[in-house]
Amino acid sequence: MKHKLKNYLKLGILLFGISITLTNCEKEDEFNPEELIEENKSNYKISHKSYATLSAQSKFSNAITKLVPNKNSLMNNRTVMENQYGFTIIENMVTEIVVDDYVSYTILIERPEPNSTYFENLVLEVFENNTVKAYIVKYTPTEITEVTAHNSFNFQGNVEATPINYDNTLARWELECSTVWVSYCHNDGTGNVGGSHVAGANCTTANLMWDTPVTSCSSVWYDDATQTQITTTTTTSGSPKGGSNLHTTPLLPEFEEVDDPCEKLKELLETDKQNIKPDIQFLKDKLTAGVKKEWGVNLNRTKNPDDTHTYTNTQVEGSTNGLDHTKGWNWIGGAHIHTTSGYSMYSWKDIHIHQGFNELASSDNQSHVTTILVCNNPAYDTDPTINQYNVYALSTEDYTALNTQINNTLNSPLYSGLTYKQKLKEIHRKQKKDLKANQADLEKYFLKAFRKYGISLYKASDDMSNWNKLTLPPVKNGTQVVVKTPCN
Amino acid sequence: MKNTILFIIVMIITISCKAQIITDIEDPNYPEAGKYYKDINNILDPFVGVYLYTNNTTSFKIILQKKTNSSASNGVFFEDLLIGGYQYIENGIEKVNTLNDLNNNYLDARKYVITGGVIMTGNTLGQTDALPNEKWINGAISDPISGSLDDLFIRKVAVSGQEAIKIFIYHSIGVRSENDPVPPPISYPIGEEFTLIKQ
Repeated sequence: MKHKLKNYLKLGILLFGISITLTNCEKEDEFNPEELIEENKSNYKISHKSYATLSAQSKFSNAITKLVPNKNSLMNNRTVMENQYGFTIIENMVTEIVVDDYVSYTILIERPEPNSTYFENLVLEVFENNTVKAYIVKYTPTEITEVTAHNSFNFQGNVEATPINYDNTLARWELECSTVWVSYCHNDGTGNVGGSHVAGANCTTANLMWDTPVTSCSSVWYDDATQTQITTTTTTSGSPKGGSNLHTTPLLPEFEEVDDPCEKLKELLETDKQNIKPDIQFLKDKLTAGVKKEWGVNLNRTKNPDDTHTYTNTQVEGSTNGLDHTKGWNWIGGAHIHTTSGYSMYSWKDIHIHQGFNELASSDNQSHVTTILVCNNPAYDTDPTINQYNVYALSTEDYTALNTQINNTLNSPLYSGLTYKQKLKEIHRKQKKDLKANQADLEKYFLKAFRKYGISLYKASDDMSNWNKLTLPPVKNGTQVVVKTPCN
Repeated sequence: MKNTILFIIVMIITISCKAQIITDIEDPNYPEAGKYYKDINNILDPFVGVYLYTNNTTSFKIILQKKTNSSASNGVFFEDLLIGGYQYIENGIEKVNTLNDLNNNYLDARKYVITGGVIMTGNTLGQTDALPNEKWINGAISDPISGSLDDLFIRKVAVSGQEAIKIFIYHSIGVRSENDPVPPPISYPIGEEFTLIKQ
């Protein structure tokens, strides 16, 4: 009898919840970016950052820890929240929107069985008082148009926001309305105005940005005993209908295309493309001059409206003025030297920098991302007839693996209790010990130490006319030697 | 009964005591949980002291101390470590002063602004005048103002019979997002050698 009463009570609550939803959410409507509500964007900053970079920042890590208490300690395992809601966080690029003391983080998520008709983002909101709210925002596009000149896309379709309950303490119905403010712009970062598209890091001019609101109301049953959640969601576009205001931009799933790194690296050498040979010679000359500071070259590859590219290489000195490598939408990486005070091989920090190039490069540029190292050839000391300098290039084969390994190292218990900078210092110290112990064959050391990082190592031929891929095949007859395979 | 209680106490003490493997500070397998990287041969001791470089109104002061049995990451491993603080004044203007950092009693000595971790031997990494058996420090220095993190080479030398250290700060190129503001300049001189006399 008691059990029956409980069921009736639940049914009653369910009907009540649905009726509230129907009363408050008048119609289901399609999201259209042309329905614009402009507002002052001078206090609005949008940027793309890697999950790893943000994990090292207290605001994000506190938010994600509140939401998923075991996320930091079990970086690679699924979290309670992921299991409960049946999705996995893609630890890739995160869109950060800052409006005064409000911050939102938009993270791509995936389901075990992907559905091509929609994609979803996890959006975390952190308010002034550090309270955190989380939503799954589901985008069902009717049309996605690429806006190539602005390295973005235009989206039309339905938007639904489902609040996430991560503190199941009381069984209750909750009607939760939230207005999703999808940010748009028609600015390409240089002030040029073009077609409207989803706002990205290039949208920096306040008066070229606007938000389009979609109000999404969910009637949610939180069941303390069974940890289940029943959600009914209705969406309306146009004027906001109250509730919380969620600032976000859609993050599309990446559609990976297989590229040949050799082809991309060859483009670096072509005179009508990136044409890095004169810059490599510039860096070699610095080494010959015995400079005591690292010098570098930043590589910019910007897509033009007619789909051609403009290539710009900028020489920089690693000086006290912070003129370092630049990462961003139109940057495909850089080249730098290691002087005699550094080892003739990439450092862990260099790999982390390479990850940074990848994380912010546009999809058009990602397969072109490379980090080039110009350094002394250790064998030259005993054999002056060979090339005095080595030129290496890194290419990314598996960005997820690269991200995972960087995260794993940063979150190792060996470095717990340290700040991000202190961790970098200590990881570098560990690597300095490794490099010291492996000076006899640094290429072999690198290929062993970074075999799980999803990156491949290339070495330029002596005349800089081609690249050779360096690999370390399995041990045969007790010896393991680095194999050079020329790019065809 | 008495023996049983005694046995239980001994067992509890045995189990609760974590086994610690003492290894030399130059052990290349670093860091590994459960190890104590001990300065068995007292390599760090000669570097301890207060050192000063002066040239008119420019000065560089470094204080180096030896921290023993530092508990890394709350006891994951232990180590002896050279730590330090510094003050740099350029043309009469104090650019940076971290000497107070040494007043912090960090259990994990890796948190100090100067740490000396890797022991180097002889002519390597551009230290062409180092003697073949000379032990020197390939450490790290951080700048709280610019956020820069750099290698700090420390060599023990003698200048006219006076104890001194020769230092060199190696700044490796970093990366900055194109939208981020330019950070403040690095407070200390990079890519230059300085000789600091022991006070």
